[in-house]
Amino acid sequence: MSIYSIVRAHATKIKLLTREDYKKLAKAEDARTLIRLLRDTAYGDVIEKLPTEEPDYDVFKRVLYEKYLNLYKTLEMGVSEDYRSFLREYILGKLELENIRYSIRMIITNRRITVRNILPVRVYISPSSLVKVKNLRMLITLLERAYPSVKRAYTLYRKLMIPDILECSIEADYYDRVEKEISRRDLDLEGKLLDEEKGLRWLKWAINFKLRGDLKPEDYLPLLNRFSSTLSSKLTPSIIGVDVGTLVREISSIRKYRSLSLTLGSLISRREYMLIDVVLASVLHKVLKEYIVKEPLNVVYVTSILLLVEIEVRNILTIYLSKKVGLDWREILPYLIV
Amino acid sequence: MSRVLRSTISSGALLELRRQLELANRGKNVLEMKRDQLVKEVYGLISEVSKRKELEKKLTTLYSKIRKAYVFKGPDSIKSCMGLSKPPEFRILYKSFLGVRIPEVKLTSSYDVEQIPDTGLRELAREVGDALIELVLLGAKEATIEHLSEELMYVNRIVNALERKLLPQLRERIRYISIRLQEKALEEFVRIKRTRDKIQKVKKEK
Repeated sequence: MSIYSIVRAHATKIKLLTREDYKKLAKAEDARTLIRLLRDTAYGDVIEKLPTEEPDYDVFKRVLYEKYLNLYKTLEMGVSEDYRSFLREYILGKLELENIRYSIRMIITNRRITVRNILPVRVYISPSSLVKVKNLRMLITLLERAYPSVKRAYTLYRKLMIPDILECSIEADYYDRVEKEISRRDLDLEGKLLDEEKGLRWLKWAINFKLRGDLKPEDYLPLLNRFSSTLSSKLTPSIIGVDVGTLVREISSIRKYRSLSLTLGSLISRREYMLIDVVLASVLHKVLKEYIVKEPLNVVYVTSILLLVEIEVRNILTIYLSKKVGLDWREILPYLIV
Repeated sequence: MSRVLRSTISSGALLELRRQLELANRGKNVLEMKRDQLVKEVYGLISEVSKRKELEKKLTTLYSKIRKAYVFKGPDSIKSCMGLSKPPEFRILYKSFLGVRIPEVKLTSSYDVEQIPDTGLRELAREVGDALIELVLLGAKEATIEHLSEELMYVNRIVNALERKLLPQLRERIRYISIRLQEKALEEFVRIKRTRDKIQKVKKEK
């Protein structure tokens, strides 16, 4: 039954932007030229619908995500009911997580959440209900049914006043749910993919909490432990009492993460923390690429393609903003996940 | 002062002028000392302000980093994260230095970025905050230099006026009055002598 979706995913794969395509897009003179170049890509149909030749970032982002969601709907149609439920939790859940993350940050600073800035996705929390939220307590009440650990995290947040706690806890709930879906349906490859992703997210949060310095391990370790994965199980014993540099060096004990360890170590020593996310996302990107090579006939191919397209959308948005800001193409290349 | 310079030729006026000269000399010395102190202070501050170029370079680098962060994280993320930072607070006090009112900026609460959940943005915000605080403190030093320089110019003008105009005028007037008084005393002496001669002549004729 999944054949239709796999074939469609293969068709999508052909249209994925390559490293050369990104270079060409990054080299575009301005945002207008970039839009013109995008007409010749898989995004041509939505680009035609843009109101102006150089739309606002919000409009452009919405259009790209609408295209992505259309692809999701097309691919979702052809998979089994069980797998559809997994895709919904995993793929759409990730976008919902973005919405919640944005809402938390806005609500903490007493600012209004607008529909304009929220992705039109609903797994458990609808965008319209997020817009109605007036304070953090209301948001926690709204979230607690779908993200049960948020209430406990809220208590800790009030003690430490660090929003990472809330974001990390919500993300852990998301992964728990996806994991449940995977184990319920016995999805082996998806399980491995999630394990990889959870490991990288564990590392991201571990670096984040370690860099905070004044945070006690007992405050963040219970949260980190919820991101159990192969990577985290090997590194958790060495997380207490070491600095972030040592932690990153420890990663090299795992063979496949040796180069990641070196890259992260160099970024941390240069205090280039912004690129940590890019490096971690690039590792996942590489894993996804491996999946589509190794498993061309498995339904995990559909999931991998969806994740790759989402990364592609992010890359296009990054290039678009760089053109708006007037950054040189050489400056933007390190920020692309390729 | 000009009243004194146009004063009558008398010993009283001479005494008054000498008193004025002494006062002006003493004033000049005090002002010269103040000028030296101001120069010393300004020079001290100038060496600190010379860090401005370094700071401007740092700000340019930070601006480039901010642009990259904006591009990579997106405006929504930047807006939502930056709202979580608390801007620094300053208290501006004025203190008197050699009679000059100079501003003194005190950082009452530093830039709080701990609430920013994104590591990259948090560190960037911290760097920007530190640079801005440095810039504000540098601005206060520049304002101090400006105030001190104005005072220095004023003091210089007065010292010059004393040195080149008032003191020479006073000295000249004192010299003139002294000569006139000497002449007067001589005239008086001659007149007394003549009167004495006349009286003696009259006495002899009797």
